[in-house]
Amino acid sequence: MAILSWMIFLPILTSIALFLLPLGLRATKLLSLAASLGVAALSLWLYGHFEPTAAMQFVEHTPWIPPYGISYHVGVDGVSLPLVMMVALLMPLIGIGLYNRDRKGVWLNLLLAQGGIMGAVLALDLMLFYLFWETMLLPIFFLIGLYGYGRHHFITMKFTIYTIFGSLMMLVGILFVAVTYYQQTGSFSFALDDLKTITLSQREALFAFAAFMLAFAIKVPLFPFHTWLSDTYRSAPTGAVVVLSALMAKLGVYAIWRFLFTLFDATSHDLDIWFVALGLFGLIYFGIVAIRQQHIKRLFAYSSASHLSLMVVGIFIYDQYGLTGAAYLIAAHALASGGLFIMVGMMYERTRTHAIDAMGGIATTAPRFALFFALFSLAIVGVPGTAGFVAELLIILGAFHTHPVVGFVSATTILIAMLFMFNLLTRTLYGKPAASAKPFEDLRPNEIVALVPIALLILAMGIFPNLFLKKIEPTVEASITAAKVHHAK
Amino acid sequence: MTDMLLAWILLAPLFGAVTITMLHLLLHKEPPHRHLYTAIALAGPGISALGAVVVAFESYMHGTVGHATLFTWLDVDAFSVGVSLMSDPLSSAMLLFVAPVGFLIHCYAVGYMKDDPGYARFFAWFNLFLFFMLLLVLADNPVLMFIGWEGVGLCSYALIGFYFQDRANVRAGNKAFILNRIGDFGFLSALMLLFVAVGDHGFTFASVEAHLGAIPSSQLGLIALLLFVGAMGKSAQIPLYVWLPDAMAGPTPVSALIHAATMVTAGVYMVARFSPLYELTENVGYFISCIGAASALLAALIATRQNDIKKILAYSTMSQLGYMFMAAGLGGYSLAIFHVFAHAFFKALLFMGAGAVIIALQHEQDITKMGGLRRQLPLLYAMMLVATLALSAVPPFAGFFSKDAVMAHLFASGHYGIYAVALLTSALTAFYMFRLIFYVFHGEEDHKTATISRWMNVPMLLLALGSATAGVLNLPPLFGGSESFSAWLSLEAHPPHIAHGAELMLIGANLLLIAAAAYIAYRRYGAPGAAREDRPRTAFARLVEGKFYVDELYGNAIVRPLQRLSLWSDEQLNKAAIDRSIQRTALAYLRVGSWMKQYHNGNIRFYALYMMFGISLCCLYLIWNLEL
Repeated sequence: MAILSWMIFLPILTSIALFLLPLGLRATKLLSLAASLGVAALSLWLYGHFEPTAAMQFVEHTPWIPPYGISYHVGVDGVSLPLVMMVALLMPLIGIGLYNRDRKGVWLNLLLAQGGIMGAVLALDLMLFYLFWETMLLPIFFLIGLYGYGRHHFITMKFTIYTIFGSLMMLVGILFVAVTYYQQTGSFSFALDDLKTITLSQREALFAFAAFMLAFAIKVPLFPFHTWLSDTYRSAPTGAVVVLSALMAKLGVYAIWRFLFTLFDATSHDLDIWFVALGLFGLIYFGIVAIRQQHIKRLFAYSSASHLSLMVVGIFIYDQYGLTGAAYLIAAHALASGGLFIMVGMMYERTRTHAIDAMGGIATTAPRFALFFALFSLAIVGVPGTAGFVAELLIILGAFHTHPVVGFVSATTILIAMLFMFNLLTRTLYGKPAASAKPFEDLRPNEIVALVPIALLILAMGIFPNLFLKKIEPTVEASITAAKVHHAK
Repeated sequence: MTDMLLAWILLAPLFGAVTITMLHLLLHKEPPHRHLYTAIALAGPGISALGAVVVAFESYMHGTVGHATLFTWLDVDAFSVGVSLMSDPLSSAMLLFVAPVGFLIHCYAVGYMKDDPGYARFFAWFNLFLFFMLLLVLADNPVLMFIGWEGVGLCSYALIGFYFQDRANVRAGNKAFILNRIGDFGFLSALMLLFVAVGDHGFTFASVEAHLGAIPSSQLGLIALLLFVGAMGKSAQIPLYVWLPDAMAGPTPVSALIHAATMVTAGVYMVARFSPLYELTENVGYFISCIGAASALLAALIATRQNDIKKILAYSTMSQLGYMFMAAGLGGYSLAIFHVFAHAFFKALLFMGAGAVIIALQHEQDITKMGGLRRQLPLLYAMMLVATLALSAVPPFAGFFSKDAVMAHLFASGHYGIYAVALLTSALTAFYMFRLIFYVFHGEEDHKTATISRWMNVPMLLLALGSATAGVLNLPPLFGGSESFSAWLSLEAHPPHIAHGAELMLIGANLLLIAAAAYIAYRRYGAPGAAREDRPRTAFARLVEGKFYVDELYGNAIVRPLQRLSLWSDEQLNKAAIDRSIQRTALAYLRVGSWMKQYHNGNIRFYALYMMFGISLCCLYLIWNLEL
């Protein structure tokens, strides 16, 4: 097995092994932490050896079900690299930061989810992609259903039906595209590179596009496919929320670019204005909805949705700056929102509440906690010096490059996020500590170990973005050039 | 050598901020290491101040323009932004007061904050602020300037809300940052439009200036206007000014450094920096001038009826910034910058004096409860008087030369309406400043005062010296000078000329008004046996006291509707409209399912019936087809 397969299957196999072996809680924790640290180490090696070119790298390609042209085909390029790194790096930090979670199932399911997401990011074969896409849903279903808060049985059903509805549509789309390929060439294949060569009538392309898009739009989520979001985030245990918001949602955005833009280039281009509009609407709409939320996880749910809409804008404007910015924002937002959600988990461990109004004065008793929380919030708001600023600047630049109106509306992102973020900071960190509650405990050593890498990476990506962007840029350039050539025809 | 120096000037305060933060994080549970923090906190600004003086001297004497590139920040396609610094005359002139005044206020803060438990946190932010301010001033490209611009806003937010246990302070910080960011929205949009128009040739100030001609004039106007929106936010001009009075919630050194001497003047600096652009857009320039005039007048009016010593000074700052924009809008960029320069000295001094008064009276800020302090604090009285005379534009203090040059420029450029507003505001300025002085230092009251430490007194003395003498740098020909400051900056293309006789008449009129206003203030608040109360109590006076109810207007017209929209979207649109319709669909399936269920009841006879039904249909189908 080569490196990418290790990164996919190490967590999955560890998860299965831990499930079957009768190990104690402590051993389970340590072994799953070791597995995710192993993946993180592999990812750092991968990052170091990733050549800044447009080519697909570390490719593994072996036939799997030859009669139907299904193969095990994975690889990484500049646009998937940021997401791969986040999937690999955030997982061990969740484990370290929230080490106190004493449910074995939480650890196993998170490992399984990591493997599933990693596979979906790396897959270059549509059947393989579909398989991983569904694999990552399963652990989330269990995490919410078994360990969630509130009406978690109802909510996990709702979430699952919502998502499965989308992915079944995608399956229909995948089969349709593969059968069309068979009709046109006489042989079966599910490889992305093969399937993009088929010719579809405008009508067929539109339907297939819609089938895929539905799955991705639900995952992201785009307005109006978002109503699963706030309940699911509220109910899900912290680890699952980090996975949902920091990783899975980004996978939706990435998949739009990877699959829709490759398979249905003309249709995507024809419809781009609609999705730019939908994204811009979502950016503002979700931001406004977030202002008055009383539940901290729901607030962050809408906050994430707002930024994810901006990423969708970034890719649909078909602009080099926009796509670079969107790829960068995938990483920047994964770090910031991942950090924030981990800290929300820490807050819950201390206060046993998610109600914003029940908190206050944290900065007085826990200055280190406040420092990290404020830093991650500022990264969400996109303050210079943080990774978020670079990403948003590039997307806004791309938007202005496309059309001034798109530019002006996307520039409101620098206002929208701060409206709810600063309000939240005021209500949680500042003011006098609640008199009744016991003093808010400052960060423990393991929590500091988990948060420091996130904070340093956010700052490094904000202060020296050029070091990171060089790996993304060639792929983006090739993609945009190809799209332009294609569209010119 | 200048090149190396620029990097040092910039990075020294950053180093201080980072070191203090790290130390504070590691040591915060142990007894405070005040001297250690003091040494680090002063070292950075000290190095910057020394370097700034050297750079400005080199620039003034030899015309040296320094360049330093630290690293490439971003390079995507044509969008290439370096962390590159530049000290042209304009930057050098800004440096000349930002760093030294910043250093002096740091020294003052050592005394002011000495018993504060947040000592280290304060200086970490204070140093960081200076770093961002220097970045703003030294940046050689608009994007880097924007980063500094946002950075100072962030530090301003953190320092306004420094006493965060009281949420009102934090809210004041939020308000400042949000209004600033509304401005930044304009600034950023303008930069992006500018880049899209001319960015292919590189995106430094020099290259933008060289290619301005390629931009169609309608777009140029839009860009100029949007840039000024940024300045409105940062420099507290109508309609984005409401944050500045609230920003006084921060510790007084913060008000002195950020909300008087440096950050709030960034808007003026930006207009001067983009002067080649504003030269091409006269309409926008006129608009800027009008906004400046309106802001100056409004703020001066409000200041006449405020009782909080710091808020009076805050409105005064806004009013003086209005003067700067009046000049900058009508092409007097170097005059605006000179007023910025002089203003930094006397306004910082006024705030520091106010801070000393507040400390001396155990945190009393209401001037109507003060009085008679000239007996206990004669040195402070003298220094405040110098600053007041400078602000009121009385010769030979610095404010006289800087403000008078502005007013002469307004008159000479033929905009008499704006000149009249400036003249009226000048009288109001003298009135509210002398009202403050008389309230605080005159009268019969006898207060017990705390002593003021040397850390506070010495910086104030140095600033008093500056306030008294800085005017000689730009002595007009009328008084035997050669406007050497303006000549150094050389920003104006065609400065309008005015005859010496006319200029003397303008000065005379202005001084007469100032004297009259000061005399009225004396009669009401300062003379022995004066009533010491605000008169008259007309409806207009009440409107002024209510600050024209602009805060309330914004609250009702913008903030509350936005919150209502937020609630409505969540409850009505999300839950009621979208989610319910989706859940209804799901429920409909359930209902169809339970309806079907009754036919799948396990009863053999039912199934036989369905079979018969099916077979009949098949038969019918076959018959139908066979007939064809």
